[in-house]
Amino acid sequence: MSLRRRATQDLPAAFIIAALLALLWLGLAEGEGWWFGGPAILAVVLMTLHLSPVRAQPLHPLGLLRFVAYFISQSLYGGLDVAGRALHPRLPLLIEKRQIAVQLPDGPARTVLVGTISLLPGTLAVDLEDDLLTVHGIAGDPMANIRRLEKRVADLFGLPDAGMRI
Amino acid sequence: MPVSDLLASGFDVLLCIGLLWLAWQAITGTGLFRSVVMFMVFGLMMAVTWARLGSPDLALAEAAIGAGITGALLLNACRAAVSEMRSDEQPLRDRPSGVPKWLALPLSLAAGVGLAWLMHSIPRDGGPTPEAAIKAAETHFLDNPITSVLLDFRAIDTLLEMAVLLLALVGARVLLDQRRLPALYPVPDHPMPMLPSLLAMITPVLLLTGLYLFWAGSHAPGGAFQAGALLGALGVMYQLAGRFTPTHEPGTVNALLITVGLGLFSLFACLSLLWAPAPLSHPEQGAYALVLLIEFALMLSIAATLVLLFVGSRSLQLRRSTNHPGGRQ
Amino acid sequence: MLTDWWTIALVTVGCAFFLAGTVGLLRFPDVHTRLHALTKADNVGLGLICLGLMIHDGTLPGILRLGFIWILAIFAATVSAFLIARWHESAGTED
Repeated sequence: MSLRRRATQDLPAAFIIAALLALLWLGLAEGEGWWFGGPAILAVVLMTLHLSPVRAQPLHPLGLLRFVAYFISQSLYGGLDVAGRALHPRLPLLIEKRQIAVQLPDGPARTVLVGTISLLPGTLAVDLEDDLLTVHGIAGDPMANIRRLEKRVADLFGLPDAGMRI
Repeated sequence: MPVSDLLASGFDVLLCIGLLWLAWQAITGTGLFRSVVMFMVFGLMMAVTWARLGSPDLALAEAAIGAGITGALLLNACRAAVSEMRSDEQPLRDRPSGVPKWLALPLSLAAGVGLAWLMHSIPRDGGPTPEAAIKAAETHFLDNPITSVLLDFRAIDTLLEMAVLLLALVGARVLLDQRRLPALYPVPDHPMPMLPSLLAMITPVLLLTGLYLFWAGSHAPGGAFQAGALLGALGVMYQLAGRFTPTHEPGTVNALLITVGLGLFSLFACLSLLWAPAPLSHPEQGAYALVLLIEFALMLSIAATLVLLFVGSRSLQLRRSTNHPGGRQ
Repeated sequence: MLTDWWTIALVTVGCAFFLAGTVGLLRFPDVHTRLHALTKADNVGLGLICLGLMIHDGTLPGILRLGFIWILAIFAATVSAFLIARWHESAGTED
């Protein structure tokens, strides 16, 4: 791969990582030591692109807002739900395992989907083999929840809404 | 007594009981795995204890090295022991070791009594040394008294610690060669889903946090050991994800990385005789830069040694995530 | 003073989530259901505790630090839960 092509591909990702790392340095060093932090961030960005190359993925601002709101409200609900089940004397668990074909493209969108499933009410990601996602549910059929989550993730990355096959 | 004090002492009492209970569980646990997990939890509680005692430096080191890296090493050893147990007819536990078990009790009792006697023999007011050390630390060119002790007042201890670390690696290598233990981690054929994403997220964070700890060491909690342990943990993650390929040919970069700390420190010890009567004395000019250089080399060596100790191979090669060969360390 | 009460309330509720998660870990019947209890309760519990401490700290670096702690912890938790669940599924062992 030519250097120029690499640079144009890696540059957006490099900027995003550098910006996030600047926030991290601000948090760790409390605004001091930029003479060391600045070059350190540059070195870390270069090493990261060498060790774990990532591609920048544009986010949709409105989709991001909706995703964050959805994630926070569902996280709270999920926490309350599982706490209620754990503390309930009869331990009500409606266990159901489903295999679902993921329509989101491979890459960050799928990572966010699988990473989020286990934090939302009643669902746990168990396996991902090619396009087939296995989900474990303790609140009945996880299908509807996954369908809604996949739509939110598609919005987050500004992807066309992907329908789901069973 | 105010409520907050009462709560704090209640917490401390719980911490003490918890530590004792965890230590007991780690020793008397029914399985190797269980014992190792208990030991790791013990390390974390110990880190909380150091933080409560107002020693963030020790808390950081305990959490990163005591619980983290040592825990990973023990889990690794546990796995090797289990696989050996399966292949051998004789279980590991019942194999005669040549030393009777009951000896452990009098030995540890004697060690405990000896330590208690030593503690008792330290003068109550601490003698003249602590006061002199505090006074010297106040005017020292390093603002973090811990780092002043590690790299100036007692630099010889740190130098020898690095030698111990290198010796540990050499010892492990010799043992692995002689006993022909199984390859500790078979590299997975195809990458596990989600793991590359975790690595991509954690790589920049751990690298920068490690560099921060290195930089902070001169004036705040941190330093080469904590930074090295963090970078070592990153290396362990790469190994677990199958991104490092263990090789049997010694690699130049690997060899350089594990020796640069001790090497540079020893070189400094020799060179310092040029400007001072005793080795390991800092020069009048440029001492700060010199300390940073040595600390950086120590950090690299600590990280590389810990990773190689974990893997147990002679050297490592980076595998590109898209199956491109090459890379370093 | 009012911010102190917010901190106390948020941290207390966060701890309650951790307690409920631990109860779930002990009471739930198998690996998968236990992972449910851990991931969700820890996510909310840690989130509330970090939020409470952010209010208490009130400085930008402190808030950033706590934010990073929360995000890194939940991402590590969800990935390790996924890997444990996946390993358990392929091993097919009981318990």
